[in-house]
Amino acid sequence: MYLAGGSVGLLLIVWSVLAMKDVAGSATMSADTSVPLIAPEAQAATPQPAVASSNSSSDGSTAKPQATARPNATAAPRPTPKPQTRSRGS
Amino acid sequence: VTLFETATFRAMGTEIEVLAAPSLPASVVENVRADFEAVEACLSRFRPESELSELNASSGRPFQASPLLRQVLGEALAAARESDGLFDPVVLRAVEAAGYRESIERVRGTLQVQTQVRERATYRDVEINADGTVLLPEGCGIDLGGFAKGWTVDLAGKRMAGCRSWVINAGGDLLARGAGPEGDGWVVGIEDPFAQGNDLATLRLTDAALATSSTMRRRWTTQDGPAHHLIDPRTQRPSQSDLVSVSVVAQTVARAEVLAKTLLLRGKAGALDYAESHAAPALLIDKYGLVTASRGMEAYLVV
Repeated sequence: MYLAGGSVGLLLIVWSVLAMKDVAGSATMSADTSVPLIAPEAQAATPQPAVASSNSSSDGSTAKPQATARPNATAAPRPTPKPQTRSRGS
Repeated sequence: VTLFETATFRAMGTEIEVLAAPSLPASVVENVRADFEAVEACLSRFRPESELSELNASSGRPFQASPLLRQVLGEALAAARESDGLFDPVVLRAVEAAGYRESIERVRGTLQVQTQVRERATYRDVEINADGTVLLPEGCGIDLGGFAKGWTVDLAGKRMAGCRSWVINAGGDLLARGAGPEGDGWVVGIEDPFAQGNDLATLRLTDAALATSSTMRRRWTTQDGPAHHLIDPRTQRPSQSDLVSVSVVAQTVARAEVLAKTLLLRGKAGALDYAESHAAPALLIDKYGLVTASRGMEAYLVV
């Protein structure tokens, strides 16, 4: 009984740890994909704790550095679009 | 992913490019081509049978002109008045004297002999009469070249009614309508006059016309050295401006063409003030390759 109960308890703990890792993973993906859509000025004004708090509730070691690195990545200039046509002198 | 379609054909000594998003019906291209062919047949100075050639051969006596010739010539003369004569279609004899007597492909292939201009007249000396006749001063001639090309782009734009968003580009003089294939304007490169095929700047255009005048493209060799097609009406010789290329954004291609030529002939010192007083966003490139944008151009530049 105790053995069976202990196994169920152990399985529940393992399951909940894995589930929390998934949540952290989702939060990281969400941060990655949404950053390029935010203008650099708006991003500077966006409070950061929302991302940080989701990290702190998980194992916390993977997502946090990426979240702080993102603003630098978006500050880089966008590549000039390829011209669809050209004005040459006439 | 290609979000627009293109078609090209040759007319007026250059390549005509038609772009439309999301699609470009073949019938539309044929209508545009028909407009270019009709105007070229009437207004080309290189075709001896054109109506313009007949008019030039009839200088000194009244010439019964078609509505098309009267309209384009009338608009060119009005533009000349507005530019105080810096743009002037009455420069045919000067262009010929500089060596540009045939199509540019032929002129480039042989050494040209420059001559002196004997007859000097200006736009003020041309009469368009109420009875439909045109009177040119004896010995003078009209060259509607770039103006007629821009005017034809404006005309051909009326053929594009069935397309959501489009561009007609006649050798660099272009009209853009609608927001382009991705909704944020058509992306247009401004060619580096010193490195053909490369761009010095990129613009986004929505519902705007753009023309570029350059002294670096239509060039040939004479016994006195290199020459180009952009005549300064004040000297009747190829321009000695310190600007080599000027691009202007305007509402019509014909107006953009006139403004670009006027700014180039004014030179760097006089071009910026003129561009800003005429609300003409302009990109100036001088003989050292230095690029200057007038006020208003920043709205179009892609940085």
